[in-house]
Amino acid sequence: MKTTYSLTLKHYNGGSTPNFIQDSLPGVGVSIGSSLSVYCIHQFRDVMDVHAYGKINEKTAKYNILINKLFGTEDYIHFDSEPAGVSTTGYLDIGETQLGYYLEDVTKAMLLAILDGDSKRTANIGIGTSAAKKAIFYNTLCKDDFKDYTIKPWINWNNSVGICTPTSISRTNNVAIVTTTPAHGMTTSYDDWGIIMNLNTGIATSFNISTTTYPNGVPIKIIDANTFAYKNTGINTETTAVVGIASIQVGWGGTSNNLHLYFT
Amino acid sequence: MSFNWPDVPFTGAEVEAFVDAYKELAQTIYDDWDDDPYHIYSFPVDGSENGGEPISRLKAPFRKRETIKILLEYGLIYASFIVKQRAGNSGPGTDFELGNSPLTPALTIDERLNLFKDLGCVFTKEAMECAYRKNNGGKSPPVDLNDLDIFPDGGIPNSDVDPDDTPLAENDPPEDCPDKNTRENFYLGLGNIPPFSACYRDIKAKLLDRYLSCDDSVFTASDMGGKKDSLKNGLQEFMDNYQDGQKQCNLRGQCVTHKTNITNNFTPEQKSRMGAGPTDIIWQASFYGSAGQRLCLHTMFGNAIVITNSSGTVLRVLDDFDFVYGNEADRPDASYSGQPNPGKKPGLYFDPAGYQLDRDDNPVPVGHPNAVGSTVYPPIDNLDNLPNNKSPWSPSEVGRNIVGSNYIGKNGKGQPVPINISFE
Repeated sequence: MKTTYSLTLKHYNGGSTPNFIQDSLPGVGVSIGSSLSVYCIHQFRDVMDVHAYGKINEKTAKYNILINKLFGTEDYIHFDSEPAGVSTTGYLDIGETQLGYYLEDVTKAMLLAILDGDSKRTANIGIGTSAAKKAIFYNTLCKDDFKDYTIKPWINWNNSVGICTPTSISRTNNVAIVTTTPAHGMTTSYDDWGIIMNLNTGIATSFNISTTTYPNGVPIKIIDANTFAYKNTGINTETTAVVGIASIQVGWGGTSNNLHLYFT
Repeated sequence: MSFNWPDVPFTGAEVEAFVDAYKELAQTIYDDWDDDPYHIYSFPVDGSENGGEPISRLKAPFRKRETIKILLEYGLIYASFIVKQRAGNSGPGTDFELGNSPLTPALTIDERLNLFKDLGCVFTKEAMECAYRKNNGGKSPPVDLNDLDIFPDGGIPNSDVDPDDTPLAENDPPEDCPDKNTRENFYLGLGNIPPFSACYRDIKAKLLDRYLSCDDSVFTASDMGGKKDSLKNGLQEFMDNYQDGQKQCNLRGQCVTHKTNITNNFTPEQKSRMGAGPTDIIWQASFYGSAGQRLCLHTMFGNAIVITNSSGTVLRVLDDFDFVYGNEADRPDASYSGQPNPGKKPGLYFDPAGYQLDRDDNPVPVGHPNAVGSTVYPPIDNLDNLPNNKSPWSPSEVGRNIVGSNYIGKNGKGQPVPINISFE
């Protein structure tokens, strides 16, 4: 197996999207003492959704589609290094980032298959046969056309757990801050909250969240009992009174799921 | 095949129960992969969709069992970590405080070197010399050992050979076997280039090269290059996957028997000649079932003799590389596949009484439009108008055409090659 792939599979985030701890704690990303160490954090790239990433980089996909047609296989993933001296650069490349996505998808599929209920917030094993659990596993990784919406995860993962009523909103540096009346009701005991904004008029609609893109909403950060923030790209906007509702969602978890690692 | 599970450093009732459930489910997914076609494929009912071929239900990255196995193995740690966090216990990687709790995955030497390389620490002679020069611009450069004449012969190892003295004539093919033509050489060369070389195509190219060169020397483990272990693992997985006499049938009732114990067909002397010990088991294997095809064994061998020890460990595989649409091995001396000096005879398709089968196993004349499987007959170098809508650019069809064309051309090219690969 290509060495950078095996490192990626061990959750080393030093590939194309490094996420070193020094991003949050400057100066401590790399330690040089009696040995070299790299500190980093692993977290799901998508902390709200369970939709499997089925894409392969374009060059590899086109090449493999041709090869698979010729040879009648469906072998899209090659873990080995490309052979030296052969002009296939990029054609067989999974990409460390994509590989990380695939690992995340299978990890989520197993959590969904094994854990009880909707698999959120619980550490308990669900009841059910191996066949039922396998069906959930496959159902998580299948193409849209073949999803079974009568079983997990699609039967309940995107369910709302409540609503709140935004009364004003602002945006600064692509971060939206929402004030609700009455209180939004989300407790800081959990950091897995998400939101689907659905505001009605004018500029306020630019704060809305598309459920096509984000079927389980986007993660939020609770500021206080009446205020929360979420990432939202757009022009800076003064605090504006708004009318509409926001659906409250639950995902995988925020910083509580940061797995801290050091490689040495 | 069992998983290579990483150590899970988290403890607590919840996480331990989860790890057990995770491993159990992963093993079930892996073991049942070939038996779960309806999870993995959708089968068109009327044959109009996708040309009647099964449609993959899973997204592209998740269609290969070996890929899923790897992802399942490496996914265990983080899945367990999430359960650990939910359970509220503390431990490595949790409740992080710099310096005392991050998790440290075990790294291989290559992984560690790659990590250092990412940090700019490249421990190659060239990189270190480059760094040295960059950091020591005002100092004398390091001495390049290649500039010194430290070998009395100028640096040429004694094992090197003078190409003018190479006895090439010993390897010349028999005179009645004409040289391979450009098309054949191109095809054989292609088989050695990734990704065409995958699925043992490089090995099959070597075998076809011998076949077309009329070289009937036994193909052994030393001819496998770096693929020997891969082949052994594939054969082992295949043999472990099935019981003695286990069959796989399609909807038309056509069946293959994956493996059959035929040890009792052989005398001790015959077993010895085949390389089998007194307690070893001799199996007739057919690789045309799902696992055989998945493991790329069906076009490598088709059917073969596999020898295992009494515990089921694969020790040897025996076969003849020959063709029903070319020359087949002829063994009137009652020798067995894989043994030296096979004769040759016309393949079944070119036997005067030869025939092909249609999809319902009814015999039809060779080349009949309803024939299934290999389809090789004139025009020799024209692959247009192949029956059954086969692609003229399919490597398999080109290869079959090469074999069949040589037979039809009656040029003497085409010698079955015995295969006797020991894994001991």
